[in-house]
This record gives sequence, C-alpha cells and structure tokens, in this order.
Amino acid sequence: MNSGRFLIPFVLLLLNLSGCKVSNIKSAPVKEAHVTSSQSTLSSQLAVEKETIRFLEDRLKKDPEDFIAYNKLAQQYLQRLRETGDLTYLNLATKAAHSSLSTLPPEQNIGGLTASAQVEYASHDFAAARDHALKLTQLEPKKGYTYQILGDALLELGEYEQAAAAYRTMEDLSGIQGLTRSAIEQRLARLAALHGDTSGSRQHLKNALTLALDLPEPPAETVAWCRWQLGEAAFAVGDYVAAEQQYRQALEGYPEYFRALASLGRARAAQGDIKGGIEQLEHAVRIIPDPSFVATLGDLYKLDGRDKEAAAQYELVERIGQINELNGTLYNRQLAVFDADHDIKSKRAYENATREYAVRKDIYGADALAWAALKNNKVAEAQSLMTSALRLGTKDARLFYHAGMIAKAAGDLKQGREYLQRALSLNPQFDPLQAAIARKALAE
Amino acid sequence: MFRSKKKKLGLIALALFVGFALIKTPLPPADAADHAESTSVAGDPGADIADVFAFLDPNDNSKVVLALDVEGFVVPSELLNLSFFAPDVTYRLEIENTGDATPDKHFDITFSPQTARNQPQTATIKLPNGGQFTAPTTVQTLNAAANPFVVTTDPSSGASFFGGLTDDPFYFDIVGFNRFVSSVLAGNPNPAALQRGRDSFAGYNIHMIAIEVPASMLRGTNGNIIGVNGVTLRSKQSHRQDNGEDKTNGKLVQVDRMATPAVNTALIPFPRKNEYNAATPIDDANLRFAGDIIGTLTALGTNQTNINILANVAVLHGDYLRLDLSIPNGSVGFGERVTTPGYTGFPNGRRPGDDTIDDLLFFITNQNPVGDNVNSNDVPLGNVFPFFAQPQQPRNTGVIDDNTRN
Repeated sequence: MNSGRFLIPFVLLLLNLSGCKVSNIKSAPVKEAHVTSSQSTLSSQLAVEKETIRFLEDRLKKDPEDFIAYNKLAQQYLQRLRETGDLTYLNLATKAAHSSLSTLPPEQNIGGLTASAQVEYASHDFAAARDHALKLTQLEPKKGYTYQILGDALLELGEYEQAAAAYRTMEDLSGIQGLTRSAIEQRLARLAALHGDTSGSRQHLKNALTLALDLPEPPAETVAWCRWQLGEAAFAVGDYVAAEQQYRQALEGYPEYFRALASLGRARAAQGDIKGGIEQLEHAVRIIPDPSFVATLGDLYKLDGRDKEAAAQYELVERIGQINELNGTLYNRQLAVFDADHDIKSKRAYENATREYAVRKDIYGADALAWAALKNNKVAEAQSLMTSALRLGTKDARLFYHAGMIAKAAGDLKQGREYLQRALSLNPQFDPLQAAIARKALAE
Repeated sequence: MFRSKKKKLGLIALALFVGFALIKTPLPPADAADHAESTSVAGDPGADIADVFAFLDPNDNSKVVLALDVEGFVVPSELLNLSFFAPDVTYRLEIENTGDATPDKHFDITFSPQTARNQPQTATIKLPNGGQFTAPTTVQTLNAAANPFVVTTDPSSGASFFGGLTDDPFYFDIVGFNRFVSSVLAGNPNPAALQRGRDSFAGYNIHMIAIEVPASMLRGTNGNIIGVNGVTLRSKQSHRQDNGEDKTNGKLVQVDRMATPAVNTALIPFPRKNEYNAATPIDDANLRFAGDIIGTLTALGTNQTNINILANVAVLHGDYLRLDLSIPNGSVGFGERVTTPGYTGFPNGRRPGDDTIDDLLFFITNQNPVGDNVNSNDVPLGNVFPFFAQPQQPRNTGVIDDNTRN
C-alpha cells in the first residue's frame, strides 16, 4: 500500500546533499543465486523487455513524433517501474505519455490517453487518473481495460462502490484470457479484503496465481506479485509460517523482489527472529529505500538493542520526509504514519495526513489522519475519522489497534480493550513495535 | 466497374474526414500499476480487427484468398504471452453473394489455447458447407530467422489455412494523415502535413489469419460479385470453473467488424463507433448510420450529388469489401497505384500491397494526386499463399530499425 519505489532518486539526492552515511544504503554485492528454471524464465523475460524498450527508443530517435512508439514505451517503462521501484522509469513514462499526446490529441490517440491515465495513477494523481479513465470509458465503452483503470483510480480515492461497479463491468466485458482474469481476481481479492472477507480474498488471490501460472510463459513479476499478496494475506491473519512460505516462493522466481524481501523480514521478526528479519530488510532497503522498509528496519535495530543504527534509520526516514515536502506527495501517508507511530513531529504527521485526506478519502487515509489526530490530542476528530476508516468492516490489526488506542483516549475503556483484543488476536505481531504497545495498553 | 470503384472510394474519403484515423496502440497485458497495486491488463487481446483482405490468388485465379488480421504493433521481440490467437474468440469471414446486405455464408475459425510458446495452437476451420478441418498455427521464434510459414490444405475441400505472426502489411503515416485531416476540417487544407513520409506500421508484426478457397465455394446468385466482412465474436458468458477449465456459453456476441479499410475506425464518429462495431451490414443498409455520414459530409461542404453517390454505395448495401471474381489478378499490388494501368486491386477487394490510403487521398482531394508519401510496405510481400511477408525478427543490438522511412 505504498510508494517506496518512487524513492530511490530522492534518497540518492539526500545522501549527496547531506553526506549522510548509512551503510546499508550503499550498494552491496548481489549474492550469487542458484539459477533455477524460473529464474532463467525471469532473465529471458527481462531480456525481452530490454530489447523491446531498445526497439521503441530507437524508433523515436528517428521519428520523435512516433506516437505509437511513445504509447508502447510508456507501458514498458511503467512495467520497469513496477519491477525495479526506480522512479526514473516513472519520469520516463510520464514524458512518453506527454510526448504522445502532444503529437496527437486524445480523441485520435486512445493509447496516449491510456498511458496518461496510468502515469497519473502511478504518480498518485488519482483524481486526474479517474477523470482520464472516465474519458477512456466513454471512448471505449466496450473494453474491459478502461474500467480497470477507472476502478483502480476510484478505489484509491475511496469510492469503493463505484470502483466495485467498474470492476464488475470489466469482468463482464473481458473474455477468459488468463492475464485478464488474473488481473480481475487480484482486484476482487482487494475488494474482499477491504470488506473483511479474508478467506474470500485469499481464494481470489489463489485464483489469480493459478491463472498466471497456467499461462504458457508465466510472467515472473505477476507470479511474484500474487505470491507476495498471498503472503500478505496470511500475515494479516497471523499465519506467519504460511506468509513466509509465500514470500520465499516469490523470491525463488524473482530473487530481487523487494516487496517480498521486506515482507519476509517482517515475517521473520514476527516469529521472533529479529536478526533474520534485519538481514532481509537490509537487503530490501539496498534495492529500494522505501520509507516503510527503512522505518521497519529501524524498529528491528531497536529491538535488537542497536539504538544508534535505529536512530540512523529514523533519521533517514525524517530526511526523506523533508525532501518529500519539496518534491511532492508520493509517500505522504507512509511518513505520516511513521511520524505518528514514533511520536516524531506529530504536528507534521497531522498536516501531511490532512493534506492527503482532502483529496483522497479512502479508509487508510482516514486511518492515517485518525492516528495522527490522536497523537495531536484531537480525540474527537480521531474518533470520527476512525469510524470512517472502519466503515467497510476491514479486518486489519493496525486499524483495530488505532481504533483501540483512540477509544481508550476518549475514555471508552471497554471499547478500547475490545479493539486492542481484536487486533492482537487477529495478528499478534502486526508490527515490531506497535504490537508491544498494544499489548501494554491492553494490560493497563 | 470503374464507376463503382469511384463511388466506393469517395465514401471512404468521407469516412476519413469524419473520424480521423483512429489507431489504437495495443498494450502489453501486464503493465504497471503503482505502489504495490495489482497487475493490469490493457487491450482486448485478439478481438480487434485491423484489416481484412480479399483477392484472387495471383498464381491461380480460380482461388480466392480471404484474410483478417488482429492485434498489430507487435514489436519483434515482444512475443511471450502477448502473441497468440484468443481461444475464446470466433474469427468469422462473412460472405455476401446475393447482392443485398445480408451475409449468405461464413467461415468460422477458432483456436485451441496456447500451451507453450514453442507449440502451435490448433485452428479449427469451419467451412460454409458444414465441413471442417484443423490446422496448426505457425510458431513464432526470437531467432534471427523467422520460422517458415505452415500452410495446411484440406484435401476434401481444397481449402488452405495459415495462422500466425506476419509483418504488418498495412502502411501509411498516421500522424501526417491525421494532421492533414485536421487542417482540412479547420478550413485550411495543408498538404505539407503529409510530407513526413513515415510508415507508422513499419517494423511491427501482426496476427494474421488467412484462408484460400476455390472461388466456386463463394459464388452466389450475384454472379461474380462477392462481399467480404470480417467479424470477431465472443460468447456472451465466459468464465473459469472451479476445476480451472474455461467454460463459455450463451450465444456469440459480435465484438468487432471490419470490411472496407478505415471505415470501421474512421467513418463513424466517436459517440457511435462502438455501436457501429456491434452492428451489421444490414444495419448499414437500414440507414442506421446514414445521418452521421450525411451530416458530416454536409459540414465538410460536400455537395448533394456526391452525398447521394456516397450514401448509395456504402450505406445502402452495407459495408462489405466487394470483390469481382471475374477480374483477372496477377499481383499482390506491391508498389501499384489506383492509376496504374491494369490495376485490379482495392476497392476491388483488397490485396496485401494495395496503397489504400493514397487511393483514398486521391479522391479526398478531388482526384488530385495527393498521397501520404508512404508508397509501399517496408518489406516485400510473399509470392505464394498466404502472400504476406514473414514476421520481422529482433535485430542485433546496435542495429537501428529505420524501416519507418521508405
């Protein structure tokens, strides 16, 4: 649920500017991995991507008005962004989409409009993505993919019913192509999870994975993504062993899959293996210093008694936050939650969360702002926002934890205990530090 | 015959004015979402028809080649899961042979699911007489040389089949053309917009389905004149069962249709484009889209005489690619013009090499020799069935593709 991949350039900038030395940010030698057949599939797929990008870039060198090449290239760059987390690719995709639309306007250039909506979505400009997606659905009302883009933007904006309707239309219009069905199942899984149907969500994710694996050449990133999501679903209900298994399988097919690495670190820590968790998180942060990865790594250092290193990680998240103020709002939410979790600059957390919630009223936006409001002693506001955050019936330990702490602060000790109980019985180790705080609060 | 050609072309010219050349870029199936969001699909794999061809086999005029292609702009390296014929789509070639707007017979082609990149799909070709045969598709490769085309001939009917990736035979400069059309619509025609001379389709591949059948299989009460219409259909309901098998049921629903080049995407204004795709030549003949056409023509200053001529041709008999089986054909049209002596191509059917866009522009500009300066396909066409060129293959690193300029 976040945007760490956008971070690399900012962090590199930070390091250059500050001379800050953070050992685990430096590039480390990549371990020689045992090459399995799935890894050779990955390498051949990456080679094809590279060749396709070269082909398209070459065309544009010769004809800078080749809008079809721009449109195809934007898609390729966005896929690379997905795979690497490198924000450079988002910038390239954005430029490609703009160049395409400046060559031919949207009415003559549906591919350009599609790229534009997808770039906006990736840049967290969800309102613009929604508006362009709406236009796409008008231009192509019989094509499932236009409703997918629309539904995704609506979901991030917290328009859940409209998003569900868009996904239903997508499902109705799409055939039975494996990748399309997989994409639909992933979205149904997300909707189910939001509505508290954890087992339904896992089933949808299993379907999504099966569909991807059934393809003649399963796309490595999609497979890794599905496995990672299955791991997250298991972690969310406290099944750390199953979660770890999924993360490891994801990494088998995609060894540098940073999402699975970070999650594997969390799963190790949740099972009491703090050092093992640190090892995985360090690896993930070397690939992409997502602030949530960096923050978790700091938490694990702290649990390991390495306070100095923990402080360095927290400082890094802090610095990222400062750059964020200059560079936009890609990872506002993570930083607000980090600040609130660690009782650092609570006012800034509240401001960041408020700014985001003004344009994006999804349940996690409400949760972030509620949590930040509590840390600013705005208890009534926190209560009201928490009601909104829980409105779908989502079963998420972090939501219950926040709800419990807010109820407690409001003086409703009974409800506070109930929520904290729910959080800890659902996912006893939902967070390296916050779970312990929840336990302590429950014991009080 | 010439008169009817002219009329047809005029209509198409109109079409181009009305709607621009709307060319969609197909998108890779798993493109980027963001911030750990779900994988995406874009496009409708396999069901969007790009072009339809109908021509007499230049080597044997007793046979007719019918072809349709789908999902173009395939980069030579871009095979993987992108490149296959959708197993849930019925590819149909409708034949009209009684002189009205109603299709009289059809060929249906369906494909088995792709099981591996190095294995062919199996096509099932259903003939109008109820017969059918199966044939493998041509497998693609990333090697420097393309695999040879696999052509299967059914001994009992004499029908041949090819299905696989080919070079995209279409050629024209979309950007220049659209800018020219914009300038005309703005009241300041600017032929200089056509000077770019870039073939937007060069270097890309497309998924081609071609059949060759004895002309006798196609003739009806309208003598030697047949109409050809390409259609894709899907079952109304299709879903994946718990056992993992795909199940489709319900009646087939039309996804797309295509006959005369550019009409499908360009003739009909945006608000009615999808309606047009789902409609039939009978709807055309019932004047369902006539108002759009005439309104736009009037706005463009076309006079009543021409409006009548154009409406009479394309609207009243439906949108079919009309082929006269009695006109001898000796080539695939590569490098020919509509003004070339002995020219036998589009709008008499359509051969792979016909310069349809220049033919259209010729009439758009009141028979002035204005063209888009892209005058033939970027690679030579084949000289035996299926008559299309082999697919473009990945180039060595450092070799820049500049086929966009002829």
